[in-house]
Amino acid sequence: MQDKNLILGLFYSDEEKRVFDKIKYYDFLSEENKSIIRALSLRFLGPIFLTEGMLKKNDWILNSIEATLTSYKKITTQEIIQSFNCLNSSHLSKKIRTNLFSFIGSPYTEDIKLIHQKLIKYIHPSIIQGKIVNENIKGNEFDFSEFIENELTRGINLIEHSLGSARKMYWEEKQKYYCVGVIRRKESVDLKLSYLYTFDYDDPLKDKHCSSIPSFYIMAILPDYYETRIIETLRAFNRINIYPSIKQIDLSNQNKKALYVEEFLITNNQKESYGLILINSDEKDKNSNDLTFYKTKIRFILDKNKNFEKTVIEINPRINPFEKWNTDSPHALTKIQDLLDKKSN
Amino acid sequence: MLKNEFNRALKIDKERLQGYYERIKSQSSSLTPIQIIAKFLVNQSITPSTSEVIEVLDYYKSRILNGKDILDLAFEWIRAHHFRSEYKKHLIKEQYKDYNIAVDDCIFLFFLNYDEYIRKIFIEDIKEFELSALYQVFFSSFDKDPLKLNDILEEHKRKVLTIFDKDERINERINTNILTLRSGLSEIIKNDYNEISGTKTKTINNSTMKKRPIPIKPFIFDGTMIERLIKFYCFNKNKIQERELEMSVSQFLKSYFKSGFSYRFEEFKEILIRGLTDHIYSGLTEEIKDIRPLETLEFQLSNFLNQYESSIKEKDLDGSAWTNDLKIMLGTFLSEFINNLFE
Repeated sequence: MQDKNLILGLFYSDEEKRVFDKIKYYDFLSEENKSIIRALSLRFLGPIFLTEGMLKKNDWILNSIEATLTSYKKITTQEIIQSFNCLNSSHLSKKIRTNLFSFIGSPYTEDIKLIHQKLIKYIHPSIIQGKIVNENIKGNEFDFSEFIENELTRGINLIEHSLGSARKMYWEEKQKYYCVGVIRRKESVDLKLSYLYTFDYDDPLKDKHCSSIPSFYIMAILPDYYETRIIETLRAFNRINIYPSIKQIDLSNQNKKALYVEEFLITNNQKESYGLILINSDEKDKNSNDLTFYKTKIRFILDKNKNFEKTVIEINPRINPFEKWNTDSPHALTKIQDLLDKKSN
Repeated sequence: MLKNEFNRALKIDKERLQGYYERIKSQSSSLTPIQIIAKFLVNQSITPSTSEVIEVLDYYKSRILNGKDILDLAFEWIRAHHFRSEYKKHLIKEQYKDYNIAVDDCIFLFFLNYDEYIRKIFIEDIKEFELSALYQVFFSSFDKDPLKLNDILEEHKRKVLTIFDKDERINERINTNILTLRSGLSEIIKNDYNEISGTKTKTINNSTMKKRPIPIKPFIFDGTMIERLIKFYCFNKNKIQERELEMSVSQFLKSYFKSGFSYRFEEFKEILIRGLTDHIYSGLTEEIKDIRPLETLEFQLSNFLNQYESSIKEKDLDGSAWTNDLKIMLGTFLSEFINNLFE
């Protein structure tokens, strides 16, 4: 792989929320771009700190964000980056949380699962264990900044080495999901709209499933938030003719799993996206389906002009497709927090 | 490493080994149990010296879990050697930029799982330095340096800690397995990497570096055609055409030797032996693998090449010249090997 076709960054936030980063610069970049890149770590980690701060009792972890990249016009060879992935490892111990976050832009689909495993099982534990051992050996003379610099270099080199190999097909047990919300987004040069559709705020099902996701508020802001961060990253790395579209966001909390899957279509310079908030579900639940079912349904809305309301009812008849919750203003988001994230009784 | 790949890498023929052990036991009535096991391990080419093996078994016997015995530990030592050959196959195939990445990647892919596996046969109180020392013992070849357990233990005692969480009411041991693995294995992986990539600094003479181009990337011998040829032969037993054999050997040699580069025999001897035996072995059926273990195959090929070593040892030839010279030798070896495969 030609190194210059990569975007690669690794951040670590410690128990005091200090953030350390290691970014690979394959191209010449201006100082201005570099200063934007240096600020990216905090911006990418924002929602992770947010979930942590807001949900003391619920240890939700943002695992990964996958985005596809599309070109505005004919791209130059320098811009051949087709996939963008953010991978995170959050380690919780005695109410102390550390996060190791990585963003990877690459011309290939990449074996993301293997790279994520390296992050979770090797690079992150190596930092935690190394800190403990060094503190025991060196005491006050232990220089954490130097240590973390070395560990992040070690980590980013290991990730870089893993890039360029084809994505493997892993055998996994087929999982059924239940849909708890739909997000509809529209974007053009002078327009940006985003709506959430879910259960009626007084529906007991809303209360029942509220704990199966971090919160409706967080789920509503994540897609747009990370899409914007990825755009900033691409611009900072001089990739100006490509733009991202969120494909999947994966969150977990012990045995709970929440997924956000999205499909998009561009017509007349307007991008329209439909995303579903899914939770892992019991096989027996009659309204639960596999991932392909959900993706096909939203593709039908986009490609075959299937009626949105009808399709939402087919996906989950308890979701109200006629009542939309605005998600693109602080006031509207506060309303979501007040009415959807708080239990009705 | 996927679970089934890991299980395959750990797999040894325990029944056959148990049979060997019983035979040695019946022939050595005057020896103590630990001496018998040591003799058994030496016969399995684990180390050259019985006293060194006894020292290791004697030290670790008190660290083994109740219900396990020193023979189990001996089998684990053999298993570790088998596992090492699997990890080295990976190291040969993979192209690492430097040994640091090789160390991290190999520990992640191979030894993290191995660590989880091997800890199960030891008591909970075993110290981390004892485990890192054990990794050094299990995964070193001790071809050149003798196995001095006390020195190894002392070295690891100084740098590998067993840490307990002092804040807990009950002292809970903190997991530091990655650092233990690194202490035990980093040097071994680094040496293997250097040996395989041919960049071992002590073997490179500065003056020769100036005179002849050294291949920058580590090359490997690719014997896919040989592997396929043997696989087909094992299944249908149809006579292999001389032309087919010649082409396979040629492909194997050309995958490594490049025209315009000069090579010395000692630079590639080990890689050639390992590359060819690995591919031959992969082509064999499971039944034949039991009769012809990888170690025997390596030994046979090494012996075969030794016949010619005196005449080719000092040669410094271009890649294409080596291809021509070795084509005949390896062709003869393979032809003999295939003809005797079912005898």
